Amino acid sequence: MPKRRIPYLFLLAALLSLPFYLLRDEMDTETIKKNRHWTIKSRNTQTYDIVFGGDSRVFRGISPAHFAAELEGRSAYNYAYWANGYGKDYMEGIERRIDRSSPLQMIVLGITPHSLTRKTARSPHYHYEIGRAGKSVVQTVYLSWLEEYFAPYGIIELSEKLLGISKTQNKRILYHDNGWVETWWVQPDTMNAAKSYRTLFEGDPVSEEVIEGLMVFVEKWSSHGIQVVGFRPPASHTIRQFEEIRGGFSESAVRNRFLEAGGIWIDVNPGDYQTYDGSHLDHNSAMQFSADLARMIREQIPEL
Amino acid sequence: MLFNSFVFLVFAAVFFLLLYFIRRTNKPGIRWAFLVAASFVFYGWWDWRFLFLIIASGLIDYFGALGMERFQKRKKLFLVLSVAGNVGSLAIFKYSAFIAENLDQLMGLFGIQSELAAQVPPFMLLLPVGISFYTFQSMSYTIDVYRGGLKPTRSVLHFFSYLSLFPQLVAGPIVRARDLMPQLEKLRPTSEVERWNGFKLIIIGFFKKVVLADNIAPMVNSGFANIHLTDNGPFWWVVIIGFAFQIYFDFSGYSDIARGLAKWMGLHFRLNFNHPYHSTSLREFWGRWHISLSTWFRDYLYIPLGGSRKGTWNAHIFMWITMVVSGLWHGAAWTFIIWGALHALYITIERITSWPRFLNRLPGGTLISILLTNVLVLVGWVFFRAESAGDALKILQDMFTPWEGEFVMSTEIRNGLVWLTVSLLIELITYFRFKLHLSLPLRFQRIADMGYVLIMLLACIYLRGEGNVFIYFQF
Repeated sequence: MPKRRIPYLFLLAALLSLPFYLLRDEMDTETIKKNRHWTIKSRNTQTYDIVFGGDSRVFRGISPAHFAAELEGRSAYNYAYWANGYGKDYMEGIERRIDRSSPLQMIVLGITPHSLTRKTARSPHYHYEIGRAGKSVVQTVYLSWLEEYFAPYGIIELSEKLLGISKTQNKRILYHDNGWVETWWVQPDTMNAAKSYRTLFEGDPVSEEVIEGLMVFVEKWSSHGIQVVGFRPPASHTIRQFEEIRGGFSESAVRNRFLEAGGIWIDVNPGDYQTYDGSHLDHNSAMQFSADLARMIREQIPEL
Repeated sequence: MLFNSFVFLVFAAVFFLLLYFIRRTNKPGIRWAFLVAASFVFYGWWDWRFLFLIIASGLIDYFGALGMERFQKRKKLFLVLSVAGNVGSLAIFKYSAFIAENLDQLMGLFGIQSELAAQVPPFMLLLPVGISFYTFQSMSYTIDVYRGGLKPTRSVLHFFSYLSLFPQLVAGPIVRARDLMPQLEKLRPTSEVERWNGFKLIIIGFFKKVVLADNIAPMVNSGFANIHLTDNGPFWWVVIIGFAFQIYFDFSGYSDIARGLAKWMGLHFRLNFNHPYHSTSLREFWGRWHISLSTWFRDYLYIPLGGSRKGTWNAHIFMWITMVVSGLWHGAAWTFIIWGALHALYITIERITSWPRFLNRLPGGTLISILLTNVLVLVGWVFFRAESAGDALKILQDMFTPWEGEFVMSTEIRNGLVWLTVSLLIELITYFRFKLHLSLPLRFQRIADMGYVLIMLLACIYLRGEGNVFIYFQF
């Protein structure tokens, strides 16, 4: 029996911790990965040729890597946030991510009706992440690998795993350093988002004031030599109906104003892509859509 | 800084590394300065501004004790100043809002409109962590000096190394100056066995806190967050039994960690919890629950009031005062006062009827006594945990009118039930003392000892609940 029991105990614990790690599903530590992703995104001070802005349909639906692959040599970053809208602070944030010395500077905005409401124009998620305390940032960014390795199990969850009766989680999410949140469901349910969309615009429809604020920035950026591209992210027919009828959104009106402000509008055929919940693109469609979007933009800006 | 945080692990590693070298110095001033600095970092991590409160409170008692020694004829004056300083800081930071609210209500009864509660400055509403613990430690120092049981220290660093020592600073155990200060004069080296025992205590403490208490907590919190969810009696019994285990494991876990850390420093803290739910009477319960506080109140309040020296009825009155003050010590709310008064009532009935002695003579009487004691304690915990007396009465009504409403089996309750079963098993094992490994040869005993610490360590890592602050921090 060793005299120095404590070091031996830690050695044994380290060895025995390996099976616990191997037993884990990627999604078991999703919360830790999510925190890390958003913290890094909000603390990112790098600049890029192309920056994407918008809400969850953009951060799930656009892969900068697949987009940039179509435009050789360009750097791109997805700067979209949860339930996000086009308020002044957020748009200034996008502007700061643009490399002002680049020969091509482009801001690509995914314009959903929800991103044009008063509530989302306050960009609560964006502000929350930007304002996180310093201590938690250090822990989240630099120590998250430790957190993941030592993440706890629920007693019932662990028992199910050991007995081999645990169910595969339906939601699958991968976080990418370029801001893309690759998402898919093992069993998609394209009517799922409709439940929340029934009441989403109650008392908070598309706001003329928010649209006006957005156009001010489009005009300003365009006049400063930044290419500003707008598009309506694809969604299911049901969701689009909710947005138009309950949200009061008119794509053609926004499109015309966007063009008048000096921007470029890309018409997307939503039927070409698959969503997993009716609102957000499934990862395969997101990759396809990102590449298609790049090609459609290049058609309008040949010098790309 | 919380024991159950990553930053504390780093702090403890650096602290013990430095202590290894500093322990060897012949100059006690350097050791004390190191202990004070480390303790201030530990406490200041929460809010450095409240360090000034500990320093001020400590300086009053440090100089007060020196004053008593120097001016023997006026030592009572110094004692009054010291007690007033400590009780005053408690009154300001812990009770001012409660006093103001109750005065407003009292004035309202006489038709006088007052808004004292609204005028309480915001800084008085922020309860400094551990204030009740360190003010009591500080007071015990001056009272012991006043009684002649302790010689005051001349070194302010020696005094603060006692008062602010980080393991027990914010949630006890309340360590007496006469126990700890002599130990701090020379930090003795620790043996491998002591370090192992200290380590074992730390792991047991963490297991109690992060595995048992933190996994039961969601069940208790979900129950109390929505007390009108159900009227089902068994549901509320489960929730209250859950709370009884949660508070026990949470608080005794903290004490175990503190005692383990102290062992690593070469110090000895007395036992603070001794399986209170094994008690066969309320008197026994208070001899096993938060022992350092119970004995503090006995030695510095109950006995000075007169104890049992002034007749039976006076003893009852003094006991009631002690129990109600003890309730108030836990928090500035009527529910805590009722909790203290309820226990006083239990003890009065117990003293008059001697029911535990009667029951213990019957076959199976010990188990009945344990059961009855625990039912009484559980009724008390309802007041302790409830937001208001009204909520507590609603829950008690449900508990004693069974089979109404539906047993709501939420995820929190399901998980909580698993951990409650584990907790009950652990307590049963300790009650029946299933120390099978003691029958093994010494070599295998040590392996078995290591085995169960290893299991607890792995459980602390992989079965820990959502990190919560220790319950007793709020007191």
